[in-house]
Amino acid sequence: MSRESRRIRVPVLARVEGEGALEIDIEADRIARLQLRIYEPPRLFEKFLEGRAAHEVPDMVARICGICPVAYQMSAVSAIEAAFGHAPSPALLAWRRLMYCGEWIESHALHIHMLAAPDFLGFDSVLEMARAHPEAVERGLRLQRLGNRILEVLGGRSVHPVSVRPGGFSRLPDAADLAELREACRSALAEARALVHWTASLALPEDDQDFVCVALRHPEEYPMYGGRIVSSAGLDIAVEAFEDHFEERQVPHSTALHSFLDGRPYLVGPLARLNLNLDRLPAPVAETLAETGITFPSRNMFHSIVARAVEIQLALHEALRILEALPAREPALAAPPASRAGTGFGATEAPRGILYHRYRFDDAGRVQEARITPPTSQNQARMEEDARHALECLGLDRPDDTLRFHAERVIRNYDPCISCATHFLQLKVTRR
Amino acid sequence: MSRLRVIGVGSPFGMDRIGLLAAERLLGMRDRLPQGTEVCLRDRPGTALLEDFEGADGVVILDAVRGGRAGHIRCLDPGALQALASPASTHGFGVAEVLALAVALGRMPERVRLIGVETGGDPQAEPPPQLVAALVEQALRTAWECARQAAHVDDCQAS
Repeated sequence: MSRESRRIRVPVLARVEGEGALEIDIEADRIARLQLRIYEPPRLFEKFLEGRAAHEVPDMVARICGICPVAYQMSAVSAIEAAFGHAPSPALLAWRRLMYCGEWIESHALHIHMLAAPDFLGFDSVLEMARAHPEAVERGLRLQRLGNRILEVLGGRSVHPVSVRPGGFSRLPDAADLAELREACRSALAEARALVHWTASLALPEDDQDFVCVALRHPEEYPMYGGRIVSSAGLDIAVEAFEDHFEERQVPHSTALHSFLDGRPYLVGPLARLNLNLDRLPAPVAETLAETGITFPSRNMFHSIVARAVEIQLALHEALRILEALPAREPALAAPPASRAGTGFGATEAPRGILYHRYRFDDAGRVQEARITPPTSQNQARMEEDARHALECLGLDRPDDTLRFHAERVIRNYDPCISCATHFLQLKVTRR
Repeated sequence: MSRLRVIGVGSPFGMDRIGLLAAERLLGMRDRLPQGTEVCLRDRPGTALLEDFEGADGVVILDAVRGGRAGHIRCLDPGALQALASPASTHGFGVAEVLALAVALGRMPERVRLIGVETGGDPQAEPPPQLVAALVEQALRTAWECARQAAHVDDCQAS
């Protein structure tokens, strides 16, 4: 290849959730500019929420995403309850965790099978992959269906569920539905274990990078709901301190903000969670992971697909554990807590990583100000850093198509949900 | 007996509701449908639409289609629609993608009919009642055509 300047454009990134593009300018033997351009229109959810009553928030924020609505609901109720001085009961936390397990299972199963796996098996799309590996795609559909069924049973419907509210659920499932879920989770355990082995057997590229992982850390459990925010660089803070350490910046090429920790990009999501919470895996899941022969914590970003599979197995184990113990119903059906003026902070682990919410309420319990920081925003700067590193390692003298494919694969590996990320707009008014 | 499903697909907004509205009407018209026909309403089902193909030998899908002449009812060729499949995101996994996936997985029912209602330039417009009624009639005709074909196949196999 010549050493002249080249521009590589991926005008529409395929197999990511939402609409984004990638632009790379290569000058001689270096990348002069690499931008993950997120051009979906801003969605302005924080502004929609102003003036709304606290009880309306969970149903509104669920609309941010059809793949991970539960994450938005959970971070919202966590922040609302914190603002109103309400401590959720252990039973309520167990029911919420069960519901969250459903979302992890469906979201991860979709990404592994529909979006990521074609990259590692040499196909352009899941449609091509389905002809050659129908059993893998059928497995993905079965697991996704099970995750959706958990959401449907707990939340009334699988997309944008409606039962989550501050203080508790508006309704809980009956015994027959819970027994059906219990049996379905039990039957899927072997398949989930096999999925971990299958992802570990894929031809994943070699990769060794130095990046900072950020995730929640719970005193006892693998983190989903609650805990402190920790990093692989030694950070250990309460959720309330998030904005003291994490800085969001607007960049001209994206309608989503870029996030930095101490001025550096960082990683959230399954690989970061697993790297920081290996000691929180239930024994059978830890055994499966050990059987793969892959060493975690891992510095290979492509091990994210294995981490997702591990988290499916974990979510199934957790769902089954909760369904076998069946938490008490009454505390989880409690009335919403009394409102008061104040600010509440909430962070939970969405399938794609930490989802941070902050709400300021007036004394009538109406939202005065809202801030939502989704995981894809937090990963944006990291994705650009990774793509730059990956292309330089691959060799910039490769043909454009090779570089384009590899860069797309690197971005897809993060499972970015662009639709979730684009709900910020800083309006600059110039008057002449 | 035919194992036929009539599936209204859409969302609760504008012309995209029309498949759901027609299916809702058909739920109350079982005496005019071939015996054993199931009617389902599916709000943006994504890959879950595949579940409705299970155990069915015929499927009639009612949905709005973007563009064209507003209110024009069109019987679409499933093969042509599959060719448009572009599963770039699971947020955008629509009927075309589900059909293509069903073919790839060998899960396509023997008979698939798609009845689309063109939205023209205004997909936000409310579906007029006479258009819903016309879609219902077209769905009934198509369901009977599927049932007759299934019966013919059964007769041929029996002889």
